[in-house]
Amino acid sequence: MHQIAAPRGRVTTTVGQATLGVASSAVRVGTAAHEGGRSGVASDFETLLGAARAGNPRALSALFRDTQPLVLRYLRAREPRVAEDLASEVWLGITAKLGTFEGDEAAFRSWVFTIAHRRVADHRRKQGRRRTDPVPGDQLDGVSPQDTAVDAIEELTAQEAIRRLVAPLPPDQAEVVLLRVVADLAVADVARITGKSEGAVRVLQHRALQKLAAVTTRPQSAV
Amino acid sequence: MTPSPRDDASFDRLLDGTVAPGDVPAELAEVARLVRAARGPATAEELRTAAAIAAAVPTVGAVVPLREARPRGRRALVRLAIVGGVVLVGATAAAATGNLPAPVQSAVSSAAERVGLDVPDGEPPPPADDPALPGPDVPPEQARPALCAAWAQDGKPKRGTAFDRLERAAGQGGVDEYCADVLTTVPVSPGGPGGSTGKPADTPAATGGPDGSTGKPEGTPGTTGGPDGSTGEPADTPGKPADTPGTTATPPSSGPPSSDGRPDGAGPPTKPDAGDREGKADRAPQP
Repeated sequence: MHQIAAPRGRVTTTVGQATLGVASSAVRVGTAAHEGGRSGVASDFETLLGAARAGNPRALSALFRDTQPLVLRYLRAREPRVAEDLASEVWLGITAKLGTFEGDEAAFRSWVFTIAHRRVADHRRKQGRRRTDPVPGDQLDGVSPQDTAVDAIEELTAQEAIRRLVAPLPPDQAEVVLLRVVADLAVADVARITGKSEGAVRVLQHRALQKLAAVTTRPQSAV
Repeated sequence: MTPSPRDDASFDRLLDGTVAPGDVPAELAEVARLVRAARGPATAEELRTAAAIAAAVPTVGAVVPLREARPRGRRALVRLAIVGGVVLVGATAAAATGNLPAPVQSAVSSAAERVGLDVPDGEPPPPADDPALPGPDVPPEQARPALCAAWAQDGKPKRGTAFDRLERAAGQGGVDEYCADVLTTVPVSPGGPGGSTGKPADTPAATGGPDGSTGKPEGTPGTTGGPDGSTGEPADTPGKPADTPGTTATPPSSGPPSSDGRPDGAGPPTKPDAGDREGKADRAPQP
């Protein structure tokens, strides 16, 4: 049984006789209460991961459902046309190596997005070109500060919010923002995945926020 | 909050969604809203797509369990050990026959010596004219009386490596004359010439004494100096005349050519790369 309790986002998964609570994408709505809860489910995640590594199909399915929406968001932001194909490849890579994985939830998420990052890189290498080019904010597909101001946050889907976050950014800044926001990775993990130093990652995210602040600033009247 | 490179904690709180839009400077409020939206719960569409992908990927639910992954590693070790054993046996066999290149031959010889195996080290044999060592084709001084006693025991010509060497040491004068001189000038140790077996009982093992062969000689003793093909070394014992004309200075026909020095620093064979290069990009982290 797989239940999703939105909006707090705690996924409760029943594997055999054990009930496993797993932090999912829905959990990561940043609240202090949630942050306290994340550490509480660490052992649950380890139980789920252990069951999945042992080949328990329900545990594996639960792990997949908790992880795949995040991977999809990331891939749709980077390669929207082939995101689902790449997601399949990512999951193939996960299942192939899951038996040898050791680590906690953060390490697992970092590993998953390492695979996703490299699948995108492989795809782009095959294509011979990069699709994510910097686009000036005023040329974005109907996105403007005014649009952003008008939209109510409740009406924004996660994917649309991601698109607005990364569209104005150069590829390297967009990648850092994606991994920090969507994958919820620490600076050190982002640095390892992108092959940059932590200092370089922090500089990139600083520039990205400056750029986003300039693009999305609301009129003073709207604040 | 103003974006500043010195305010990493503020950036972190903004990006991980732990700060509310109203708690950030106005220019970042919209960014904070977008971040929180981007980190929102999985939508129904995302869950449906994830389920569809799960159904399409055959390996979901068929992950290799950890308990099976470990024996796979052990099997790889067993295979590596078998391959290593075959290589070691093959290398030792090749080294025993001296068929390896000089550096490898020396390395294998050193390794085999530690386990009690006698493998040639690929060094060239000492030169026959080394005054510090007895030549390989003449019997050493201390063995000559015993050999001569055995030669003269029943008056019949003898064959064997030791007697061949004795013939070469005798030179043109013949073994009988040579041995007469030896036996009259050097006292024979007890048990040598008087022995009933005819073998030089006290012949040092290094001389390669009579091998017990009683076969007939293929050549007359008078035609001494002819190389028998085993060493090709002329009898150039000091004080003795050279062999018959035409048989002098025959170069050695045995021994490794151009092995004019012991190779130093011969390292072990390069280890095979046992790393599994497949899936390097996806290798699970091992904290």
